[in-house]
Amino acid sequence: MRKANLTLSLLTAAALISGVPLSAPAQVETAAVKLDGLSCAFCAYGLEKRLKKVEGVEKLDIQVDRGTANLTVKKGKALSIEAVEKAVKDGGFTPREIALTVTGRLAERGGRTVLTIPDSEEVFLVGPNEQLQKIKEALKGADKSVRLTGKVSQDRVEGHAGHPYALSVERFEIL
Amino acid sequence: MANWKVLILGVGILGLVAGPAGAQGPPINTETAFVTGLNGAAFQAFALTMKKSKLLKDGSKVPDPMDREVRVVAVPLMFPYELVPNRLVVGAGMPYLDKALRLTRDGIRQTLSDRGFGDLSLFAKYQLLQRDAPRRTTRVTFKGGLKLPTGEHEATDGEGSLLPRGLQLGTGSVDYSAGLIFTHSAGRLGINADAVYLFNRKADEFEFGDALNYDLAVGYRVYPSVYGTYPSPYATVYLEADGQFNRKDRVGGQTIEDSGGHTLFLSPGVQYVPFGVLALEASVQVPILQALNGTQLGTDFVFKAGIQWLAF
Repeated sequence: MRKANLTLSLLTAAALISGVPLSAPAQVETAAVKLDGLSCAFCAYGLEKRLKKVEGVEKLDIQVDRGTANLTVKKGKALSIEAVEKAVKDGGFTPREIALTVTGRLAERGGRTVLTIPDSEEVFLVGPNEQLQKIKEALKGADKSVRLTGKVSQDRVEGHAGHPYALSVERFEIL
Repeated sequence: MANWKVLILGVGILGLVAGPAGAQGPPINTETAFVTGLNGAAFQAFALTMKKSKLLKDGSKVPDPMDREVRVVAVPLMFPYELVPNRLVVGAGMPYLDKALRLTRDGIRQTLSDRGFGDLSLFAKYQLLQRDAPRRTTRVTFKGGLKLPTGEHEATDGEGSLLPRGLQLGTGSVDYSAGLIFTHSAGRLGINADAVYLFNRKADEFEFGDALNYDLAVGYRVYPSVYGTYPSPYATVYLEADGQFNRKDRVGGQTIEDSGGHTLFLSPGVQYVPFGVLALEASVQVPILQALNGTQLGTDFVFKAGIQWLAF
């Protein structure tokens, strides 16, 4: 999958999963997958069937002309980005970009802003871009939930088992 | 003597058709390089009817003193299975055949016929290349096949004489095939092409000649102009060119001169998909080239209508 255009300094997976709890869990609400190769309607059948089987997926909408698959996640359920990517590849296509809408509270860990997903091994780094600065200014230190929408990329850290995903925020909403 | 080899091989090749995915819907007579869309078992069936009644000698129509007419109805049943996701599909197929030859012999109009299940075909499709881009893809797949002699090949008429080879339901031999399939699909347009070589073996001193089958299909989605949310109904028209090179048959080590040749069909067709897992399709194949060796019955037309149903 192509990486989003991020400027990140990566935390190690060990630091992220060191056992220090975050202030609040996050919930992935929707995932929009842009995929390559989806050029015919008949071949979307395998993609539909595999994506519907990904744990946590409640609703699926495939737009053939746009080459996108939009997933709605069940409330309280986690969504594995790796499972989504695998379902797209096994379904016969190439995942190019995933955008998530995630709700939760931000926390600081090792100098970086993070989100974690409950009941999941997925850990999100939040890229230090202009949108993140605006979020922090809007929160002014208040402990409020936020809804973030942004592209996800995967950054592997050599020597560590975890595979942290990074979120580049494009839009946000203070809840 | 009628060119029965074309009938049997034509049905056998159609029996090897598998794979539901492809340009806007898979082509009707041409293979597709997609090996996906088959999450588990699937079911494909169509009815094919072929008529041959023109006696050709060195490519020109000549009077037939026996006024022969051949009709074949074939219903291949295909069961593909995706063994490795988006990489390897295996499957089996078997046609149900109804073959009849009408001819005039000694002033009497006679009908010789046979019906039942033909030879069992096993196949595997392995995807060699996949190049994806936004709303387009190019794929190349290898296909190999094995045909087992499960169909009856020594049926007799009412007087105990063996029916002609072409009327038999099976060939009596274990045969092999290998070929390549190419697909390029972008938006409303799709191109599929295949070339498959059949290695026909001997059975009871008779051997059908090897064959090379090649196909080219261009498909265009006529409705809707923009395909939105899956699944939505859509319709595709196809224009295909389907060719067969057949080597001469051999019996007892001797070549049968009135056998083999090259036939090229032009095949317009239409496909309608009312919802995601079902395709309804029909095509007619008209020969535009029949360069048959010696004197043989040429094909008038082949009409095909059927369904592709991703049942599981």
